[in-house]
Amino acid sequence: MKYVARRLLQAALLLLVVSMLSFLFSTLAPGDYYSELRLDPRVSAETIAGLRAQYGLDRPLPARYAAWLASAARGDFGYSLTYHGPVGPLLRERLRATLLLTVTATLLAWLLAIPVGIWNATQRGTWRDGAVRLLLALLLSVPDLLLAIGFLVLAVQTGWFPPGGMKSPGWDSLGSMARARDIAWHMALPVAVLVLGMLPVLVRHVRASMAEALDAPFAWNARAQGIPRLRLLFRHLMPAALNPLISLLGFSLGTLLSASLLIEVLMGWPGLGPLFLEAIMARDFGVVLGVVMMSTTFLAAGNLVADLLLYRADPRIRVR
Amino acid sequence: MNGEQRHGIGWTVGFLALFHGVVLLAGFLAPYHFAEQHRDLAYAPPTRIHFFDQYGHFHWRPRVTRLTQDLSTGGYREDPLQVYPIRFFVPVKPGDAAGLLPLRRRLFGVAEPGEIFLWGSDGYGRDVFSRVLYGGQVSLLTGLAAAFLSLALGLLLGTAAGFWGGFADQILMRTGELFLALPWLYLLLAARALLPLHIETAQAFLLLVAIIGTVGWVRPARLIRGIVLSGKERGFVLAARGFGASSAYLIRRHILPLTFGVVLTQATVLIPQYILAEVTLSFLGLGVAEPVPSWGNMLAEARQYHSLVAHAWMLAPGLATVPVLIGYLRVADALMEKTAE
Amino acid sequence: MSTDPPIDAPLLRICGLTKTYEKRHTPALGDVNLALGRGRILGLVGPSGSGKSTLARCLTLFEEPTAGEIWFEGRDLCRLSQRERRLMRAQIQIIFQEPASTLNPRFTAAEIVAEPLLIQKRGNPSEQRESAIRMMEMVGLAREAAGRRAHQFSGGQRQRLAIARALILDPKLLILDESFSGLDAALEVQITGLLQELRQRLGLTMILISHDLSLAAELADEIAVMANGALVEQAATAELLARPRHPSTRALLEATLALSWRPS
Repeated sequence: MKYVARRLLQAALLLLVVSMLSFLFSTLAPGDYYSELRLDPRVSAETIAGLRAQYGLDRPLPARYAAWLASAARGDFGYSLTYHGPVGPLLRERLRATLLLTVTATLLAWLLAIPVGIWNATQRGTWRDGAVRLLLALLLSVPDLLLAIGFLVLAVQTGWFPPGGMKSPGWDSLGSMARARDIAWHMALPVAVLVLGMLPVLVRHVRASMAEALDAPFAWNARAQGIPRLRLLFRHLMPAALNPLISLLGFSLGTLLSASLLIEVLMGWPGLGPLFLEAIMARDFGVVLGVVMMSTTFLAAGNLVADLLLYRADPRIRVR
Repeated sequence: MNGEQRHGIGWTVGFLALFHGVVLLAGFLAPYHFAEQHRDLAYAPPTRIHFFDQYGHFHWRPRVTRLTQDLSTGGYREDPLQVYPIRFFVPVKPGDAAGLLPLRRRLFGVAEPGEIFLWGSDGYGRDVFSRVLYGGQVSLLTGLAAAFLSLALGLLLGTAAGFWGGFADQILMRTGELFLALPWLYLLLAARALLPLHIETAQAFLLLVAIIGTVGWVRPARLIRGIVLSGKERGFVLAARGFGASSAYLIRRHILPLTFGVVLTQATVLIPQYILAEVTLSFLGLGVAEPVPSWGNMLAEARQYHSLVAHAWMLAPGLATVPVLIGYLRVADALMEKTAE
Repeated sequence: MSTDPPIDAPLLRICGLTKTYEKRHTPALGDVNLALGRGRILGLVGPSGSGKSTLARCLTLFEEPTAGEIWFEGRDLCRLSQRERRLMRAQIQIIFQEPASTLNPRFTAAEIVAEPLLIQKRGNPSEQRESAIRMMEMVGLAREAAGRRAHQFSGGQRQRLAIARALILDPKLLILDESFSGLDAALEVQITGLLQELRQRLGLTMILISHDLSLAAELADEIAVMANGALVEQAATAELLARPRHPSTRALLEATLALSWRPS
């Protein structure tokens, strides 16, 4: 229990420090939302000053941070000047879109990686092993960017998939089944790219830990005792192979928000990625801070989950 | 690593060296300056090289035919009456030398108004082949320089933390955690975008290297710290201390050599990552800007998906990354297997 | 303030040496008094944890004693400046347990043996190398082996390298801390022979630390027994073996006789 409490405290502290630093850096950035406006000769200096005062942009730094922190604790992340609305709901909406992609992709990737990795581990040394490894290495070497562009070209040429976006026009008028199908249809390509991107690393790790388990003395022992293969696999080998994979799981969880940034931007998926990019370009720091805190939280949570699971699996490990 | 494996890696390393060499020699190997436009030949397909003329006669010197607009198809067709032989060791036009290592001659070219677009041309009629070479200089150099920076920082900080421990070590570890708290790409974007968005090329390049390199110091630093921690307890370090060696001597003579293996492996892991980082940032408009090419901003041009099939050569910069990445990945794998033995 | 001590004065005189570690109740060294004459070999024996290694570390300036004095050549080692310490290190050398691990496997033999000269900045590189090679020959290693890397030598040869390195600064006192554990009998004989030869040629004073009484007895002129941080008995070897007075000494003696028989 003490360990859990300590780790939770550390994670909370980390988030706090990150929030402080992000706030600090965002204020240091040259220009704010009104920099562009200032260039317009028709807008007077007083108007700008007034606007800034209205949104509290002229108060001293610690005061602004404290104010932000207080409202963030209440769930109010401020107001977005670019999107003309409160930041909170905007973030939530985009978060849902991103998670839809990444959770699906992560699940699929793991579901594929585990059998492939296990099978691969049992095929060590054969030509099949080499072929699969080569294929995966190739996959690893193709940047997501290229893959996404390639898929989009495919989409445009064949018309099998939409060339980006999340919903077809007129989505609102569809029935709920049709709506879900439409989104799934739009999801297909981004998820495919994500899965292909995640697969090589996952398979490699699964194969490695499976191979280690296969080589372990207890595995030899079990095989010598004549335990049938499937039972050997599920009851003996997999639990042993699981430990190193827990950290990987934590990593997968932690990157649920950030893995899809590029793909969302490329394929016009309205998630946190494009939001982040646009907000940064527009110097809309309410949004930027919100996204930063969200992704940091996810990453910290992922690490925490991994640490706690590891701790539970083997209390001797003080993961540090 | 047995002899056979070492042999295999030798090929890969050789290939990588060759690739880098070719890119370095863009000034010689590229027929055109990267910004030279041929507006009347936008999206021209790769130039066909002919050894036989229209009458079926063979010529030793290959030639190209000029393209003209084909009004019926909207594309281009060859005009067999306008033939230009390929010349070699063509002198560079004044003011045309560019990139790293500008030389005074180009390997090949054709007399104007002929053109030789080995890999076609882009929307402004610029030679894609030349731009991929020059762009490679930017992308590869950024990757290499940023990796160097990360490793230098990691070496410096990791050694300090591992050797002297205590307070410095604690600060280092905590700071490292902060850097790792944000997903890498987010950190890069945030760092880049916090700085002025429109800066000129030379500064943009340095900025890119500085950001990418600085953001990635943590992992190398931790690895090196670990090595230094265990290294300073080794018998020969204690013995040297017994002879009155100073800390500087111990670090220099005994401890740093222990880190070389890790540094090399990390280099092969970081370089491809950083090349991709440059490509991504430039693609998003946060890196090197027109007209200086980088594989990233060239790919941004390729976003016209509807016409991409007709202009498939626009993907060349993306395809160029694949062999580089494969090469580095294989070397990294080989090195990691070697250190695991 | 170093006055040259008279020739027959002891080389080393330890007075009331005490070392306590913060978290432990009993001191690692408690009021140890010891004197060692020039050219003598002292065997320091006792069970593990009796303080032998702590004493060695204090002598070689790896540790600061809590109290007491160590008089060496008319200077108190405990009250030296940084610079003086560095110079003094040349005078007292130590060979650790498992000397092989104290050799950097990537260094060549010549580099290893010459390293102290490099650290203490004596001579130019070629002089240093020459000295190293001469010292290698003195301990029985071939000149041609100078360029070979440490990991290419056998265990016994690495022992010799460690000894050569320890001697290159021409120390007055050589401490061997359990340097013989892990050596097979044949090697042990070789190395003890080498040490005796060196003592003859160079007039070395030595302290031999061991938990094995019989080993110490072979080489040492006198033996000091330690138990629980205190020096409980010190006498000439023959005297100690024939008439052990302290119970710890007797216990050691019994253990030795029970375990091994050595041809004298």
